[in-house]
Formats: sequence, structure tokens, C-alpha cells
Amino acid sequence: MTELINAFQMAQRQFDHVANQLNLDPQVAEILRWPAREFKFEIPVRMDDGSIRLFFGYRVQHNDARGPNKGGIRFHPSETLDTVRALAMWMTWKTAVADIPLGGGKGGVPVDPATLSVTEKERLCRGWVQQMWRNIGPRQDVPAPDVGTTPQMMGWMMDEYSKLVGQYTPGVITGKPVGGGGSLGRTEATGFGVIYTVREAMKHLKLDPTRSLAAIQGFGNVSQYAAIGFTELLGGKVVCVSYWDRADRAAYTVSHPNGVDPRYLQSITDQYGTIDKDQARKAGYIIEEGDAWIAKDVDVLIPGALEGQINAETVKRVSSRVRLVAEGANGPTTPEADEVFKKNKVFVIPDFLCNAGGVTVSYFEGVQNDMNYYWTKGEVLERLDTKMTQAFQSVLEMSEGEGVYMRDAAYMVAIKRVVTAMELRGWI
Amino acid sequence: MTLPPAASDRTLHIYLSLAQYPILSGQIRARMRRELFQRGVITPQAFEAEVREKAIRSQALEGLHDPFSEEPADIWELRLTRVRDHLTDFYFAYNLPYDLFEQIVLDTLTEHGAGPADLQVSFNPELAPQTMLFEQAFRIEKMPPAERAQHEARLREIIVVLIRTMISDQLAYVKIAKDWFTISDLNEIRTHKIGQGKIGGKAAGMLLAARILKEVGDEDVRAHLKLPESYFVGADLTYTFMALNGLMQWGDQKYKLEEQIRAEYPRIQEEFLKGEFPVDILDKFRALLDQVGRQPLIVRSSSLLEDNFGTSFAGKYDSYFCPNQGTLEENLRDLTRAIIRIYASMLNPDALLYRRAKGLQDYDERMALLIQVVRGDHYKGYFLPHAAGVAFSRNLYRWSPQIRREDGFVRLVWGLGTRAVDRVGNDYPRLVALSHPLLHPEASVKVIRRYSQRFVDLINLETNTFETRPVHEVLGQDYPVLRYLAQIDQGDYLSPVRVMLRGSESKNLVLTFDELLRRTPLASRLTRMLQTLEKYYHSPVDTEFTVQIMNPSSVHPEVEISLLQCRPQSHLKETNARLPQQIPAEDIIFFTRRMAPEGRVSDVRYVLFVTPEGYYALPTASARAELGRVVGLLNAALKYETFICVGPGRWGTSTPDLGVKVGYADIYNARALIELTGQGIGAAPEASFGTHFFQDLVESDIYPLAIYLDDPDVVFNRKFFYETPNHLKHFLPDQQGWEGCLRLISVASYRPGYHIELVMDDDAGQSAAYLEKDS
Repeated sequence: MTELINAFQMAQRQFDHVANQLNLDPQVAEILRWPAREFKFEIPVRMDDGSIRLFFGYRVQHNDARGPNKGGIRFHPSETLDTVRALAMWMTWKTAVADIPLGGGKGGVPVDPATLSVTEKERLCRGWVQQMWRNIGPRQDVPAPDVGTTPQMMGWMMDEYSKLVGQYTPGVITGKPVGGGGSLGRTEATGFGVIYTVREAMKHLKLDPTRSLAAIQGFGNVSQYAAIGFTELLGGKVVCVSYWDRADRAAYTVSHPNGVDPRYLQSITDQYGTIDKDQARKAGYIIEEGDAWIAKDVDVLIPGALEGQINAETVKRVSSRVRLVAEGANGPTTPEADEVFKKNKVFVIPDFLCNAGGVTVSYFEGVQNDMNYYWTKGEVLERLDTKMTQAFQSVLEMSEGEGVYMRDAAYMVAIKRVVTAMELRGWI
Repeated sequence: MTLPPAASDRTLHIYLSLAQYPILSGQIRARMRRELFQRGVITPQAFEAEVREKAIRSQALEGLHDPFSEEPADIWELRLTRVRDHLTDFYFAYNLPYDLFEQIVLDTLTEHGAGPADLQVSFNPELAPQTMLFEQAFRIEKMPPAERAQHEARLREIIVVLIRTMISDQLAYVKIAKDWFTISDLNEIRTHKIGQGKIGGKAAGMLLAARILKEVGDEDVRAHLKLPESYFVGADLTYTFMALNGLMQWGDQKYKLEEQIRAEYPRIQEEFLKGEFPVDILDKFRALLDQVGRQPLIVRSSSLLEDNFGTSFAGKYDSYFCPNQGTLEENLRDLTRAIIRIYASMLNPDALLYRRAKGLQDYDERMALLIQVVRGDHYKGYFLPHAAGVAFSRNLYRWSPQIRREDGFVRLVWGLGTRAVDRVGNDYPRLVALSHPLLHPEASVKVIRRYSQRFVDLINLETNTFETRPVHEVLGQDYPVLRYLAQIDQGDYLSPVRVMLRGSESKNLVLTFDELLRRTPLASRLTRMLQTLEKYYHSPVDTEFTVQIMNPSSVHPEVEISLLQCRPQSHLKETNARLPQQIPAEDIIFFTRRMAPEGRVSDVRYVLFVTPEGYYALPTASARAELGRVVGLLNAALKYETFICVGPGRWGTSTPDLGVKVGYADIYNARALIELTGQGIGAAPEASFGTHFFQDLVESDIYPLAIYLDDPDVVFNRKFFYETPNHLKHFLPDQQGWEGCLRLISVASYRPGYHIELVMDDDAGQSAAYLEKDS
């Protein structure tokens, strides 16, 4: 738990490091080290048994210089104000690096949603909005689903907000279900976004995707579409994916001598991401240890599920063939492993650039809500490609121009954009 | 007797000191000789041979033709003794340090039982060895209060004597200084001084100002005031140097004709540079260099007349930087060359004519030197301070009515302060009104950029030279204090440097110093510093300083101010400067709403007009420079007339393309200098405010004024300036060739029976020259 308690200090430290590289104006840095606004409020919820249970809700709005705050709401038992602050700051950089006109925010309720009935969850969601509605909105702060929250919950929240303000306002929340104001392409967004940046990075590294191999960790939403994207969009071969088997309570790596067919694997995967390994074996797949993916002799590694997967220990197993690591997951590479990659000249696409496809389509959802006109999936993905490509290029340019590591470059691009907006608005 | 010419002050000082001890002086001299022999300066045999030779020659001088019969043996012995004494003084003075002499005197006196108590009453402070004075003063200071009270007057006398002998004998200075300096301060000066004599005006001013601020400055000022490590070279060394190198013949230079003074100066410089210093002095310079290590130095003139109350001598004498990056011997050579050049500058035409004009010609001017360690930072192989400038306690030129005069004014530059002090080429320091530090004299971004600093003076540590470089070549995003000095030109606005990236362009950086003035307490600190100095100087002051930003990456950065010098500020006479209510349009010669120092010039009979068209039509820069010389001749010819000068661009610039190249010596008889600017006419004039040239003008009651011909309500009477007879030929018959660009207009020929009144009315924010009937 210690690391969670210190999450915000860590985020500040990370920020200080980059601020120092940018030689950022100390007066401005001081502003950015802290959130602009923080809300903590109580949410009394009538439980199914008639009792009233008190919950606490948080919302942190870190910075809205570039546009309304944007960030998810997490329902997780270990949520604290500091974790929410850290994630809100992180969102500011993420929206900025993706160059979408939004700021950074995050919200949460310390609760294990599995302990609540559907109706209790609905009352909790509506309660959250009842307390915060004056301080959120399409031009103020736009929440979205996150750990422990679902599109359905977003629908309730949007509804509660619309009732309170007296008009249908889908743009207050993104991540809504398609048909309820949601955007097409949302499902593919993060995974395809990863692949767009991989494509650009391979161009830069002069790697031919059609002759390249990739190993992907995980088989949730991000990894599924990363795998589909790598094979279908780039024409490359994915040698393996990995997944968490709920029944066995163990992770496995699933590989195929000719490369996996992600669409087929998708068809034998349940809603929790568990692949039916018997069917897979029948189709010629090999089931290996959960961490086998990291040692595959490939050109591209895509850690797409969990934090800290590539660390001081596991990095030793990474093949010398690997030229590119695309961080589909949040924080998959520890600082120690990062150092090894730097030393070995492995190109890393940092997480908040690599997986910014999700937030970008969230932004598209808001845009579509605002104009009350909805794009086709093709249009959404095409626009996503443009955005991701631009984002990647500006980070690459910074990295090359300043001679800094991609991760630092991404932060530098983001912070610089936020600072420019603050300046143009006359805040500083 | 034919000792080397001009018994210098060193010999004289020893002689006068020994005159106090008619009996012991024999023993003292014997010891002095012993030192000379022991140290190998001269052998006893050679010495005695020279004594005899000089004694014999002296007999001839005294008219003895047959010495053996005419001079008895005892008289001959007396003659030998006296010559020996004199020769002892001479050899000692030129070869051994004065401290040693003082020590010998003291030792001899002590051996003869002259105990401390006796010494107190027995010597004349004016002639006593300084060591003795210090010892006695320290003794008095250490006494218990009751006892000390009895000796307070003596202590005060010693302090005054020491101030007079070591620092300055200007009464106005001594009067203030005696209340501030302690014996420890004076001792500190003594231990940092090389050679005999006073330390001169500049050093005196710096020390007094520092003392005052350390004593009564507020806590904030005290905590952030720094003094550069300083060494002093006594003024009497000038004569020692001149005597030793056969340069005394130039002593009468000041009484020569102006043309001769000008013509001979290059030769003087040449001859001075061939000179050498005595060995003991060179040893001291070596020790000094050894002590400061490889830190760059500035050698500044500090003459006895300099920085005086009322005559500043601003910029009349030279200063030189010594990068000090070579071997010890190379550095020593650079240091001595710098000193010698400054010695020679005592005889430069500007200085001599200035003295003539100020009635200071007959003063026995000598040159002391102030050697300071330059404060600054290393950057890209260069060495330079974060900022430097000149600060005035009174703001003589307000470009906006809300500016408070009494809060002071600063000319601020990046790098060495040389650019702030002088009017230089096509360049501009930042002008800061301390009451409103962020209020630029210019309004638009374009204009702020045009009038910003473009070149920086610095020390190149690699080439061991002083250099001037374009700002954009040196200033980069990796300069740690960049954001305090520069802003980014965003086209229609200037923004602070928020992030500093290596890859960023430096070309759109503009030196505005806005963030330095906004984020640090520099402006208010300078104001308080200046106000304190003004209060205790009983006069407005003018200072030079450097600035070091201490913790640039902090939210609250600090600045340290190093005070380099302080002197009373030149100011214009107070006159009736109110414009009449209604001036008939046909009477106006020119009119402007630009701010100017308040004042009035009455009864103007002539206007010296350099026509912009004619001036810029001159084919070469040298022709333009030549015109400056003709202006100088006209200035001399108009000695008995009241006249003003009008012409294009920046007068006094060193670049004739930017304006008429004149020095103080060329315009000192004029009463006002009017700079014309506008589309196609010269560079903008304000930049002279606060320069040495401007100081000259102010001090000589020459009013500087600018007319922007493009300003909407400006009046410039072209009929007067162009359609009047040119009187140049009446005053300079052989310079008629210049009539095309140089017009001398007699006011009476425009309207007989009238003269011009020039009034600069600060209250109304207007200046006008208009015709008035002769009374």
C-alpha cells in the first residue's frame, strides 16, 4: 500500500524530473505540481436492505488550461486522494501529448463494486453526480469509465446530470454505450492507437512490419486489437499473446508456430479475457508459462495488460532481437528496465503516448455529442490515426531535437503545450 | 648635484619622514644602506664610488674650481655625508618597498626607547610612518572606554590623516568619509595597496559607498550587497613610473595648445608603452596576480580628480579588462600594459580639455588605479556577469509622467557593463525607471525589439581577450538565467521564456530584463541603495554595479548587487523652465512633446545645424568623422557666443553612420545638443541617456534633447533651418567646403533684433525653441 500512498509524490517527482529537463520556469512548475481544484464529498446511499451506507467521493481537476478536465472515475477499495491526484496530473499530460483540447482530471470512490448490487451501484453513481454536477459538464469536466466503472454506469451518470440541468447533455460523460451517445470505434481505439504508433516507430527505425514478429502480453481489449492491428493493418506476425485464466488462477502464454490468428482467439475468449485453452490446443496453439511472452525472439514487444511486467529481473530475458517496445498498458516498464532499454538502444513508445487512443476517441465522442452527429467507425479510426500519428511525430521530434529518451520527450511535449496554453490565457 | 631628474615623491617622502628625526636619521639611513647592500641592489664599493663622483660634481655646481684648496676636509666630509644620505634615499625609494622603510624607522625608534606612550605625543602624524599611525590607532581603539575617550581626538586626527594620505584629500570627501571609516577599514585598504600615494577618486567613492551601505543600509541591502575583491595602486607611482622612464617631459602637456595636445597624444601613448616599472613594484603585481588566481580583472583609472564632487571625469580616462588566463608572466605583462595605457590616458585631449574647461588644469593630477576582480559566471568558454549597469539616484528623464524622479534610473545590460557606460554603435541598453521598472520607454514589441541590446561585452577565456559578440551568437537556451534576461518575440507580444530547450531558436530572444525586474527585488533594492547613498552623500549619486542571480531555478530567486563605484551625480542647474502660455506660431523654431531634462537656455544667438540630407550624402564614414572635427573647430571659434547644435542621429556615437561623431572636446561650448530622428534620419536618440557622453553634457550644462520628426505634433521650422544665410565662412573661412552639410545660422539674420529661447518644460511635457525680442 505504501506505493499507493505515495503515488502523488511519485507523480510530482516524475514531473520535477521533466520540469528540470525542460528548464521549466520555477514559478510555473510550482503551479503544475499541484491540482487546480480538489473535491471530496460524502455520498450517502440507501442500500437494498434499507440501511444507509456512507461513501466518500473524490474529483481532482489538475489543469484545464487546454480545455475541460478529462479523466475517469474509479471505484476501487484502495482509492485515496493521493492516487486520484496522481492520475489527474497524469491525464493532463496524456491529453496534451495527444494534442486534444482537454485538461486532466480524475475521480474515484473507495469501494469494491463487487460488494454492491446493480441498484446500489446505480444509486452510488447517481449520488456521485448529485454532489458534483455543478462542477462537471461538457465545458468544465468530462468524466469517463475507469477501473471498476462501466459504460452502463456512465449512462446512469449522464442521465442523472441531464435531469439535474434540465436538458439532455450526453457530452458530460464519455465512454457511454453505443446508442446511448457513445462513439463507434471505442472498442478498437486503444489497441489500434497502439498499432498506429508502432507503425510510425517502425518507419522511423526502418523496420519492415511484414517481416517482423511481435509478442503481446495480455488478451484484454487493448491487446486483442493490438494483435488484430499488427497482423491486419501492418501485415506482421504476432507470435504469441498471454492471458489470465480465471479458472486456473494462472497466466498463460499462447503461441502458434505460424503466428496467432487474433480473430480466432477472440472468438474463443470469454468476456473476462480468458481463452479456452482446450480449443486453442486443438487449433494447433501451444500453451506455455504466463511469462514466456517476454523471452520470445521477436522485433516488437507489446506489454498490453499490467503494470511493472518488464522489471529489473524480467528485462534480462528480453531477446536481443527486440528493437521496439510499445507500452499498451500503463507503466509496464520499471525505471530499472528502462535503463536497460536505454543502454541497449531499444526504442520505447511510452505508455501515455502509446495508449492515448482511448482518450482520443473519448474526445471524439464528446465532439460527436456536441454536434449531435455521429461518424462511422471508419471515420473515427481514420481521425484517430491522424491524431496518433501527429502525436507520435511531435514526441519523436522533441526526442531527437533535445537528445532525450522518448518517455521524457513525451512529457516535455505535453508540459510545454500546457504551459503555452496557460500563458496564452494569461494565467502566467 | 645631478641626481636623476625629478626627485619623485617616493624619495621626497622618505626625505620628509626622516627630517623628523634629525639625530636618528643617520642610524636609520645606515640601516637602509645595509638593506640595499644585503639585497644586492648595489655593492658598497659601487655606492661609495657614486657618492664620491656626485660629491665632486656637486662641488663644481657650487662654484668650487679648486676643491682641494678651497674646501676644508671637514666640509668635504659633510658634503659626502649629505650626498650619501640623498643617494641612500634615492636607491631605497626606487628599489625597495616603502613598508620596509617604515619598519626600519620603527625598529630604530623602538630600540632607542621611544615607547608607545612617547610615540603618541612625539610624532607628527602628517609625516609619521603609516605603520606607526596604525599601531597607535589600534592601541587607542583597544583601550577601555574611559581611557579611550581621552584619546578620541587623536584617533580622529589619525583617521583624517590616513584618509588624506591614503584615499583623498578632497575636503568635501574627507568631511563625509571621516565619519564612516574605521581604522580596520583603512588597514584593509593599506594591505591591498601597492605603491605610495592616494588611491584616487574612483576607489575612494567605491569604498565610502560600501562603508555607508554596510553601516546604515537596511538589512536587505546589507545582506545582498557585495564588494568585488579590490586592489589599489597608489597615485604617486605615476610619477615614479614617469621619472624612471624619462617621461617627465610630458608633464607640461596640459598647458599646450589644443592642436598640439591632440597631435602629440599618439606619440605619448607610444612612449609610455615602452616604459618599465621598478622591480619591487613588479614583484607586488606578481603577488597580486598570484593571490587572485585566474579570475579576470578590470583595471580602472582612479585619478585624484576623478569622481570628485561636481566633476565626474566620467569616461575621460580608460579602463581595461585583463582576462588573466595566461601564464603568470603573460598576465603580468597584460596588467602592466593596462596600467601604462591608463597612465597615458591622463594626457589624452578629452581629459586635458575637460580639465581646462572645468578650471582644474593647474591641479597636480595623478593617476591611481583600482584593480577589481570581475564578478561573473562561466558560460560557453566566456566569462561575464548576469547583468551590469549604471544606476542614478535621480531620474533626469522621465518618458512618462508617472515616473518618480527620486526613485532613480538604471541603464542595464547583459554582460560586462562597458556597454551601459558608453554610447556604443548600433546598440541599446535597457533603460529602467526604478519607480516603474516594467514601463519601457518604447511602446510596441517591434520598437522594444529594435531598441534592445544586440551585442554583449565579455571575456573570452579561451583566447584570453575582451570581446564584443552579437547577443544571438552567445545567448542560448542553456544559459541558466536566460529567462530573467530575455523574452521571446512572439510577433505581436513578448512572452517570458517558460521552457528552455536546446533545440530552440535563439534568434527571437529579446533582452528586456523584464523577468529580472519582475521576479527579483532588484529594482526596489537598487532604489533603497541609491536613496541611502544620496542621503549620506548629501547629493544625488551615480553608481556602477553588476548583478548576480543567485538561485535561478527557485520560485523566489535572489540577486546580489556588486557595487563597483559611486560618485556624486552630475545634474543640471535649476532654472526657470516654464513655457509661456501662447507662443505665436511664426515664432516657433522647433517644438516637441518628448520628455527632456528640465531646463532653459536663454539668449541663443547661433544655431549650428548639421543637415541630415547633407550629412548622409557624405560619401564615406571618414568624411562623416571629419565633419565631427570641423564641428570641433567651430565649437572653438564660437567660444564667446551662445549657440546650440542641431543634427541627425545620435551625437557622440562612435559610429559616424548613426550620427555625428563628436566627443566632449568638440562641443563643450554649445548650450544644447538637439538630436533629430525620423524616417531615414539617424538612429533613435534616447540611448545616450546616462552615458558618459550624456554625463559630460549634463555636467557642462549642455542640454540634450531629441526631436522625432515623425511625431504628429512636432514643429520644425524648415524656413529657419534651410532658408537662412550660412555664416560658417565668417568663423571658419577655410572650411567653406563643408557648407553643404554644416550650416551656421545667425538668429538675427532670420529675424533681426531677436534671439532664441529654448525651454524644456517638464511639467507641461513640452520643449520649444522660440524667438524672443532682444531686451
